[in-house]
Order: sequence, then structure tokens, then C-alpha cells
Amino acid sequence: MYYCLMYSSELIKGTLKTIVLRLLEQNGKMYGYEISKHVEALTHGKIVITEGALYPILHKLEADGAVLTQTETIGKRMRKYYFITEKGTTESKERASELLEFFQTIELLLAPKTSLG
Amino acid sequence: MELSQRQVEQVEERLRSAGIDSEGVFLSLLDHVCCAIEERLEHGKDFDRAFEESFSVFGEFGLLRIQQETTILLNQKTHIMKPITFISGLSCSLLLIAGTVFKMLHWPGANMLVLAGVLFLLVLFLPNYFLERIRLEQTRMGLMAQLAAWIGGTALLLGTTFKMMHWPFAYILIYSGTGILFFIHLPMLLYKNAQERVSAGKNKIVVTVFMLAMAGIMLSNAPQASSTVAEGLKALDMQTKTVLEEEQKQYTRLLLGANETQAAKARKIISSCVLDAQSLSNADDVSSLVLRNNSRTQLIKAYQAANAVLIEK
Repeated sequence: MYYCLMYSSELIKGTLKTIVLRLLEQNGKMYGYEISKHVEALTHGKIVITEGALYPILHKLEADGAVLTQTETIGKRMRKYYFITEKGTTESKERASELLEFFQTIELLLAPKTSLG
Repeated sequence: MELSQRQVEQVEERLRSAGIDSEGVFLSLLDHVCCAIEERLEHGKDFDRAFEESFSVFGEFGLLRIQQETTILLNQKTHIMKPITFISGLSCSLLLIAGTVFKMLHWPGANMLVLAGVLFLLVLFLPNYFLERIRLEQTRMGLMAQLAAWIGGTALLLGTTFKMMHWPFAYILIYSGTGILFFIHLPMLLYKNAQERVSAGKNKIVVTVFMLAMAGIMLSNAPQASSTVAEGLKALDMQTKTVLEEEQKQYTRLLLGANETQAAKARKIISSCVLDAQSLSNADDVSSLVLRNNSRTQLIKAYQAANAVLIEK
């Protein structure tokens, strides 16, 4: 699934949809290669999304109506741009806040204990 | 640096030879690989090397796996039951379980509980469940498979209930229900899955195994059932034979002491009894036994009538 240079793939498993939706929400229209490069750049190469994980998810998001596509001719080939829909935005917000909440909870468990006096 | 027509064609060829035949996946991968090659070209690599490097990241079956994973993700249907379906299903199960427990313990009201459960199942749960499933089906074959499952399931359920209540036609319903599920629903389901190139899910495997087991049980029971019928018929055969012989002996005895008119009347009764020619065979198969017993019963009636005439003073 994930091609991850620094974090174990188990750790971020299941967050790919959230990442993709969030990126589309922030950047407007994007194409597949651009998304994978963007994630790599944003995380300074700590997370690299492989094609094997990205394209199935993008097609699934399209089928679910979370994203819309627009095909443009680039040079000698076609390029599919992805946009987030209203449904996708709602889902993105829900998923992102759920994920952040989860990380905060984990932090409570893992953070070094402060003295209770 | 943009790829030339020839170079794009080269990428297309490689994707096709890797087995990518889904249009959507093909277009996505084409653009992706072209972008990757272009990036490498910008770093000063030559096309051949950039081409090979861009494909090597996928590994041997990586491209095909992307296509398969996409197909699987797109065909996954999260089937969430409507509340009414869920609640009716739950209440049916509870009623049926309670009924079965009551029945086992010989408590009163067991039959009412079972009947109520079955009724709920037939009019609430099954229609709701299958109408939902049918709505989700996209292919004609899938639709027919669901319909067959509905009809077969209903027949099987009714048959089991009839059997439990000792009502007639239970076996006809059970056998036709199983027949529909096994010979119509199952092949359709397997064909549909093969068509959609989706591996049979775990629950479909369970269903298949369950149905095979059912069919096995029924097939192993069937000869037993028919042998029981045949034995019953044989016993009846012996009985009718004895009774007929008794009546015939009495007839001969009475005929000796009867007057002319009585004897003529009695003989007429016996000779007017026309028998099926086939019933004279001595075979032991079920149909011969049935025919023979029918004829014997007719003969017994005739002799009884004749004997009654002969006894008259």
C-alpha cells in the first residue's frame, strides 16, 4: 500500500483517503502524479504515496461521488484532473477531525507522565 | 520536456502488454508514467533509461495489481441494511429461536411462536432484504440470481414450516426450494462473479458450502425416503393379497351352497370388474406395486359385493 520511508506503513494505513481529500480541498484541481509529488514535498519525503495505493483510491472516490474529474489533453496524452465535491468536503472535514482527535488521544497515552504532585 | 507521440505510444504499448485493459486505470497510469519519465528527462537522463526506471518501480506484477485493486474497490458494496430490515430480521430470529426452544421443552405456544416468526420473515424481512439487494444489482444476471434466491428461500422456509406442522406438501416445497437454490441461484451467482471478475467473497463461499452440504443431505436422504415408500407398499401388497385370498375362498364356499339366481348375480359382479392389464405384473418397483394394489382393492370390493349377494337368503 503505502510506500513510506520513515513511518511504519501500519501507522498511516487507512489515512490515505483523508490525505487525498484534504489535499484536493486545499489545492483545488490536481492530477494523480501531482498529488503523489505534493505529499512527498509536504512531508519532506517522509511519506511517499505509491501509484499502487493512489489510483485505486482515486477511482473509488470518484465512484463514491467524493471527487469529480475533468479530462484535458496534455501534449500527446489525456490527463485526468480531480476536484473535490461538496460531499467530499464534508467527508474530508469529518475524517480529518476524527484523525486529529485520535492522535490527541494517543498522545495522552504515550506522552511522558507529568508529575501529579 | 514533453514526450513525443512515438514515446507516448511506447508507454501505451508497455501498459497494454502488462495487461491493463480497464480504460480508466489505463489513462491514469499513462499520464502518471509519462510524468515520471518527463521528470527523469529533466534530470538529464536519456529516454530509454528514464522509461525503464519509471516502469521498474512497479515491480513485475505491480501494474496489474493496481488494476485489480481498483476493480475490487469499485465492486465492494457496503451493504447496510435499512432499520426496518434489521429490526424485522432480529425479531424474526428471536421468535424462531424462542419457538424452537419452546418446542424442544414441549411448552405451550411453541407453534404460535414459530408461525409468527415465519410469517414475519415471509412478509417483512425477506421482501425488504431482497428488494434492497435487487436495487443494488447492476446486471440482469445478478437480478435474476437474487430473485431465484428469494423464491427458493421462501419455498424452503415454507416447506420446513409445513414439515414441522405436519401439513401436506412439505416435501414438495422443500425439494423445489432446494432445487431452485442449488440449480438456478448458485450457477447464476457463480457466473455473475466470474463475469465481474470478483473473487467470491468469504460469505459467498460459506453459502456455497452450506448449499452443497444441504444438497448432500437431501440426496443421501432421498433413496432412504423412496425405499421406505417401497417397503410400505410391499407390506400393503402382502396384506391385500391375504385379504383377497380370504374373500376368494369364502366366495367359492358360498357359491356351492347358493341358488341359481344368486350365483348368476355374483358371477356377473365378479366378471364386470375390469382390471388394468399392467397390474398383472409381478414386479416389485413402486409403480407396479401401486397398480397391483389398486387392482386388488377393486377385486376385494367386487368379491365382498358378490359374497354379500350370496349370503342373502
